[in-house]
Amino acid sequence: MREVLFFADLNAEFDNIINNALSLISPLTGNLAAGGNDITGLDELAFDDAAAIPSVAGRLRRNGVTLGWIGTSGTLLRLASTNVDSQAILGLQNDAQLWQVYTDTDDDFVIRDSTGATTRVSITTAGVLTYTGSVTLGAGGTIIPAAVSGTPAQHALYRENVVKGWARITVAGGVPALTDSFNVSSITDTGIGTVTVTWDRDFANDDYVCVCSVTTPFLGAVGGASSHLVGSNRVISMNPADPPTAVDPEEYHVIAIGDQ
Amino acid sequence: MSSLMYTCRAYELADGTVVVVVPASNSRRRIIENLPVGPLVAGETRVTPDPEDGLRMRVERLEPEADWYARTMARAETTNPALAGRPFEDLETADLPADRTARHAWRLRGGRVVVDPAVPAPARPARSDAIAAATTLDELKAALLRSGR
Repeated sequence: MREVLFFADLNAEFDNIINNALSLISPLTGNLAAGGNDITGLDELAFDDAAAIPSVAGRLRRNGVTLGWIGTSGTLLRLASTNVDSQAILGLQNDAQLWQVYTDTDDDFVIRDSTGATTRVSITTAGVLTYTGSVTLGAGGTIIPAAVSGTPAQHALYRENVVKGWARITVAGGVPALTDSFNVSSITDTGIGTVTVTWDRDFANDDYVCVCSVTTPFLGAVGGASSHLVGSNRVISMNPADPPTAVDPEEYHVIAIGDQ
Repeated sequence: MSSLMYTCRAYELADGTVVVVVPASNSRRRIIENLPVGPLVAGETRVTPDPEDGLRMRVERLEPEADWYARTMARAETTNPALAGRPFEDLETADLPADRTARHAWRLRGGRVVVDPAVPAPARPARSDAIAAATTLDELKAALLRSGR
């Protein structure tokens, strides 16, 4: 005897297989659950034009030409095909602030804030980033330039041309005072007209240059090789008399440049 | 204002002379830590929310003054071996002799830097050849004028 299976029997036997199949044909009237599986072999995914951004975190939704995705804390990521410059944009929104990142017709990278103000960074030549604003680094931020290679580029900043240490030392009786400095650990008063500057960070070798000037009418000098060390340098103030003698100036000005 | 009771270190060198090391105040290091949210501690200079973890805060504070002072002095001794192992006194710079005309006579006595009147003045530099070679008053005057004496 042959058994006849009706829709109800098939649905009961195979977990609503007929209803699901009908729904996939069109129109889909309910939710489609993948049950934690991947959807593979998909060619395109078409979204209807929804009236607004996604309603729930973790969902994608199309609104006009914008594809929006809500992450945590209400942050909205937008991908849109056009903006004021008719360019593709990436929009980042947190609360009421919408920041847009896009390229303009000059191939500049543009960051546009919620007020419409823009900041542009351009790549006019491969490897050259041009920005006309100022760059402010937060606490602990540094710029470490590369070493020069061959003829220095015009106006370029290299690690070899950065001042690595400086000091302004004043003498007004007692012991010389370090009025201001950079990369100086301490100064040592070794006698009339002589001060040793100890660097905070050593130089890589003793090939660095140290320059000392002092207030008029005296002459500034640096000590000999025995006091020109990777970690310190002795500076001297001389009276230009004949013969010269060490003498305290009102101020020493010291600058050092070299490899670290 | 410094919380330490001293601002410089006077070393007595092997020949009895005194050198004074003054640390650079701006060489105190800034320490940045991510700490759990809590009350501020005295000496912390800046507090900002940690952008990566809102439950913690980024605290920036200066290296403890005593640590900075000790580190600075240790570095001075490392770079100038003449200081290593020598007797020293930690002092206020205001306690040093105010007059430097007798700087050569500074000596470490009884925990202080004093001017020792028994220390002879340094020898005068040798005169230049022009002064020594002068045989007439005019030549001597000219040499002295050139020397600035």
